[in-house]
Amino acid sequence: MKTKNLCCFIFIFFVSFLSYARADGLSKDIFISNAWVQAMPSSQKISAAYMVITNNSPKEAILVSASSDIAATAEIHQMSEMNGMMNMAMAANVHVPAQGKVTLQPGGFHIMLINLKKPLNKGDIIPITLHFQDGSNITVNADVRGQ
Amino acid sequence: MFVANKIIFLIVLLGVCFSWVGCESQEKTSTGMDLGVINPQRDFTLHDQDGKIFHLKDHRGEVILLFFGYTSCPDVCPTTLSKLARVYSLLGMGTRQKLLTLFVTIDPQRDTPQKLKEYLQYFNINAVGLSGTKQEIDKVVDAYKAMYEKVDTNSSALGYMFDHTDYLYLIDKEGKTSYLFHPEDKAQDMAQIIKGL
Ligand SMILES: [Cu+2]
Repeated sequence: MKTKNLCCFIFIFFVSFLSYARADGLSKDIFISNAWVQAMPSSQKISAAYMVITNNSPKEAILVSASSDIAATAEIHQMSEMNGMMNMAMAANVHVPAQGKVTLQPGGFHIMLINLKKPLNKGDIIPITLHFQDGSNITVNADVRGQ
Repeated sequence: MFVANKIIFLIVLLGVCFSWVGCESQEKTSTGMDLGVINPQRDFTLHDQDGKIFHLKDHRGEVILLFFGYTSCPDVCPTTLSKLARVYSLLGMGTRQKLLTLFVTIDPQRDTPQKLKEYLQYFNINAVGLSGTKQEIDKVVDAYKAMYEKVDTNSSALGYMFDHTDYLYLIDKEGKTSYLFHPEDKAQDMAQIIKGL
């Protein structure tokens, strides 16, 4: 009886681990963590998504685009300081170095969600799919955060 | 290069400060920039989010946090306002009630008073949205040596955007700008400085 329970536990553990891997990383070498979207008043039709992209492979990974069911358009943007002002511009891609990571964070890179189809409330989970140059896609569940 | 730009901007800003009043001492602290009590009052008049005239000089005795931004700003403005919500939560009731955040829109074309009000309410802080004609707003922007620039994003699905300075001006109870907070400043440290005023 005890052995059966243990087997059952191991099985469930294994299955949940598999589904985790499928949800968070198509390629076993790229992991997305701390994915979140800035909560916005419902009148706003835009927001930004942030996350950490970790690349455990010996090859550079290049994020080329993103998409989400929640927004008509998703673009890679980069904030930077220009002439003493913060400037936001589209970025063609984000290079994630081999055995390295890149943090998308306020003041740096973000995935801009444009023309939101519904309001983003704190605590909502937003799926965002990242498209890499090698053709791999990773869907990540980002949580909507306020303060 | 970005750091260099920032340093140049700060040097220019300091230079401006020096030329305003032959000031004695300025101290760069780890949080914000202490401008000392050397800045002249820079009063202004704009319209608030309820359509009423707003005079800064009517708010002596209150501590003011002044920010220039716009509601369709995706990164800097919500990040700053979210941080301010943390700052407010770290303050005692007395200080919190005497701390007024002023959000001056640089986008009067899209930011109607109603939109400003709804936007600021969302962040749950004691804030008033201010607007005016472009000329009126520019006068305030210039007085505080802030900067902004309209940018047409032709390749992006966005309409026009703004480049803008991301500083928060801390105005003391006498109406003098005593600190400049930067985006890197921590909420705890900002709250500490505000409590000290
Ligand atoms: Cu953006």
